[in-house]
Amino acid sequence: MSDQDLLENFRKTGDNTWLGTLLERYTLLLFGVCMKYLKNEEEAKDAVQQIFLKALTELPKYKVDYFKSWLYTIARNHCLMKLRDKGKQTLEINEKMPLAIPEEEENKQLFHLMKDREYTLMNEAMDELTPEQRTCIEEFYLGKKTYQQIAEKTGFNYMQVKSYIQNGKRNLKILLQKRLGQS
Amino acid sequence: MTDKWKDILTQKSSLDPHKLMDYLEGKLSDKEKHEVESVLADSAFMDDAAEGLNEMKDKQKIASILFELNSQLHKKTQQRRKLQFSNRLPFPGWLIFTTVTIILLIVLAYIIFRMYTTE
Repeated sequence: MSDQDLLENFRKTGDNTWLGTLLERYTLLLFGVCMKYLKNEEEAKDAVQQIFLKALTELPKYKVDYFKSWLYTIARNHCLMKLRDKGKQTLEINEKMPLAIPEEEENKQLFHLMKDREYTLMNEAMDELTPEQRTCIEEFYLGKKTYQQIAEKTGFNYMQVKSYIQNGKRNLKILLQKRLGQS
Repeated sequence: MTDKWKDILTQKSSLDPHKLMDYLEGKLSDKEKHEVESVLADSAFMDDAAEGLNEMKDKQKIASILFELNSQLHKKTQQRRKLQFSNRLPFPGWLIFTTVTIILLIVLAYIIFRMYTTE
């Protein structure tokens, strides 16, 4: 049963058990995100419980189309607020900020636009990336190598490889969107 | 037309939590690792989670933490369910309790009254 099906069942019946089943799918990810930001096991467990409570309170009030992205935003903002309270962060947090289109949806839209066009656009966009980003993206997507293998081959460390791939991919999408918008 | 770049824009399927744990514990082959990393590269949520879980020194502990968190989640949903149920009753609980108490007191007063008047 998909996340949307579980949400739909909750809306029809008002039975919180459906939300429990839905949230349980994300316990591991939520705990991981909280650990990343809070760096403390007890604080992370406490934060996950508060996020559950917030989700159980908010979900009956609004229609959520992209549940996974919504939950991630709630979790991240909750952790950033905790850090801000502790004086570790000065970021301005606004939980009511509109959610951006989730990455998976953005990928689909872009892929749809690309489908009928030559992938030379992609090659042109690749040339505009930094050499580090281009190398890591080529090794990862064309060479099918793991982060660790790329790190060993290039001399970058694991986190650098990850960052070059993620930032490179994001830049690539921006460049493609720009080019597709122009043509 | 070449579709060598298709992978960058093709959405990878979501990740099974067990597979993510196997990845973090270094139990996967290079091919499987690459598959997991392709999903991580596509999802900031999963990538953040993987990074955070990696901070746990004792990965074996994660299963018991999940069990604890899920048990608490179920308690919360059950409590809310009961609350929703009691909110759906035509009369609130306190009103039923007060009414029953008053009726019992009246019956008791009547019995005492009858006992004294018949004597």
